[in-house]
Amino acid sequence: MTREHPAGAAAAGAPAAGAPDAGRRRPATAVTVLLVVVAVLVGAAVARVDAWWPVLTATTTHGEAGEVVTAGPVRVRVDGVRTGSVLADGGEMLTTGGVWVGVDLALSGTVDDAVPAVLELRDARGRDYAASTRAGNLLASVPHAADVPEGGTVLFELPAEALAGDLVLRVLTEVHDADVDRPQAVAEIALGSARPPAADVVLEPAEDALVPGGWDG
Amino acid sequence: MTRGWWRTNRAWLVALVVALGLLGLVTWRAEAVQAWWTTQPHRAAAADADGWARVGDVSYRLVGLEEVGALDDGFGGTVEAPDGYALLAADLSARSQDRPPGSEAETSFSCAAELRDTAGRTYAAGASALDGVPFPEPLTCAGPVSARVTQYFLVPDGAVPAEVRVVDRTLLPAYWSLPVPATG
Amino acid sequence: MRGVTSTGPGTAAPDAVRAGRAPGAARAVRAAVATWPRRVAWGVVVVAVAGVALAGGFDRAASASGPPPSVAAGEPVATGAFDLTVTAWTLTDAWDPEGLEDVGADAWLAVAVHALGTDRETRALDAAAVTLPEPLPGGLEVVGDARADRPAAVVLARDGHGYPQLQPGLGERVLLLWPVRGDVADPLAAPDLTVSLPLHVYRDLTVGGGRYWAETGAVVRVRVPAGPVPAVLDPSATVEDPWAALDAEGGA
Repeated sequence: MTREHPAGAAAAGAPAAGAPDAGRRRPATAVTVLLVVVAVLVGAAVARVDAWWPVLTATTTHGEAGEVVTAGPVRVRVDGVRTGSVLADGGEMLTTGGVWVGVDLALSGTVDDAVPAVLELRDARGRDYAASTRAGNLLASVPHAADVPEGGTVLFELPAEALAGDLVLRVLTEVHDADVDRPQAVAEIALGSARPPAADVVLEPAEDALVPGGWDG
Repeated sequence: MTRGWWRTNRAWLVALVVALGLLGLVTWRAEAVQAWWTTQPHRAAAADADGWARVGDVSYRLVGLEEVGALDDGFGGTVEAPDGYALLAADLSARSQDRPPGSEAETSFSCAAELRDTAGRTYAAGASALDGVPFPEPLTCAGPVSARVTQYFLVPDGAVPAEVRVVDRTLLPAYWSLPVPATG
Repeated sequence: MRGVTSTGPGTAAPDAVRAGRAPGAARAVRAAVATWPRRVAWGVVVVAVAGVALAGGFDRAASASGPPPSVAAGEPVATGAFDLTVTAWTLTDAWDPEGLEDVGADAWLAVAVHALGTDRETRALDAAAVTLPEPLPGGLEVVGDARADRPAAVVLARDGHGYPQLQPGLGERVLLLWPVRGDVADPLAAPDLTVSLPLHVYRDLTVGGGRYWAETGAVVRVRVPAGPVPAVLDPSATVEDPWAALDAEGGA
């Protein structure tokens, strides 16, 4: 709206400076109309620019287990999903009222050292379970160099009923998005359904190690 | 736009140009833009004909960059790069303009080397992804120095090094830019 | 751009002449709705008041409607992101004795709570999730940096792990710990402790983007009996842990 005023004033200035002239008034109206149209188009473009250049919005890359998925500064590949009712963490055995789920994956940066902000599992009912803080679980908390993938196991603790449907691994590169809407790159990797463990099955996370052969290995 | 139009509006057009200039200045001085500019390496100190690049009174030169099979773990053993990766050793030479007699070089943990390849990827010095690798030797970015330092980088196979940068967080956005000579 | 020319004064004159014969009050009312701008203004006022009333703006504030509701210990209370069941409280000096020395406290006051996450995200218990009464019974007082609404530590009753992040749908027993000073008598003869559980609602932040679990101002009081020290705090406790019986229902 405010953009029209200078245009209107300038257009109204022309007929006022010269004699009030029907011939002059038509170009003034045409200029006003043209500027209104330009203003509307520019406004529409500004509203859509986030969709055309998705640098500014949350961009979600979808993938499957076994694929190398790139989400902004982070590259990830899920190699497998295992479950257990007890977790072997260093020397300790950690019990749970639900189930331990270990996702074997490899992480690297894309152009620089990078570390994902949040790793969480989403179940079929849309609930998000963040990586467990009870166990060591450091693979996704340290930076990894560009295209130098490190593999290991990321641990999650889920209630038993969450295994009823399919699970999705979400890798968030900047911030936990439950309460905050913020543009960031996100990777969502479909894991399929995980089998509930038999009683007394111990989940042993794999040691963190460089993936031999890199991403192409 | 007739000549009359220009004449009528010349004052406002001048004001428009000045206003746009001021807007650009205000935007440039905004905290977010300044924080981005001053905390990222944006001002390269280029290497001269002999390969020395200078920021402040410290100059760096890339003596050589080559692939090595293994590096010393500091306990008498060696650490090798696994399949699919290459271990690169960059030999850096540092010297400073003023070197008062008897003064010792002061290394600083804000001063570090990084390697950029032709694909635009940046690798931090130290090959820390390998188990058992010692911390990289700290570099000297200010004050008197005359030293020769080796920095190791772990890169994926197929990465072609383009430039070694020496970056001191406290001197940003200026940094030392040492191009890697293209191998024939 | 030209501006709306007011029609008020133009049409008021004939109305005033016509209404001159009517009584003063009726004339005032007719003048009030005589012109369209005035009618629009009245409409806005009516819609605003009706809208606020429909949205509940005129309802009594929660805290203004009498004493807060009370429940017995062992009853789950929906507080927003968690369903909390406060079971017992106790005193012990066996856990983290250096921590007690650092703040000059005599013992830890521990409140056992079963927390079930009902939100869709992993969350930690609010600092004020269980608020101690002030003053504490038995002459106890909270020392150090802790406050009645801010415990010094929250640990999992399962293994003593601190700062637990609770997963949705996975209930866990947690112990909230306050360092206290005072006459630390036999805990089983200690009086009941009435704690407050603030209720929360998930709403938008008024400044900036985002949402959070905000306290509504309403609380629920729970009268908590004293109980024996759980094994995770005092492995040498000779009394068999009666809270172990809650593990059967703890997985709800």
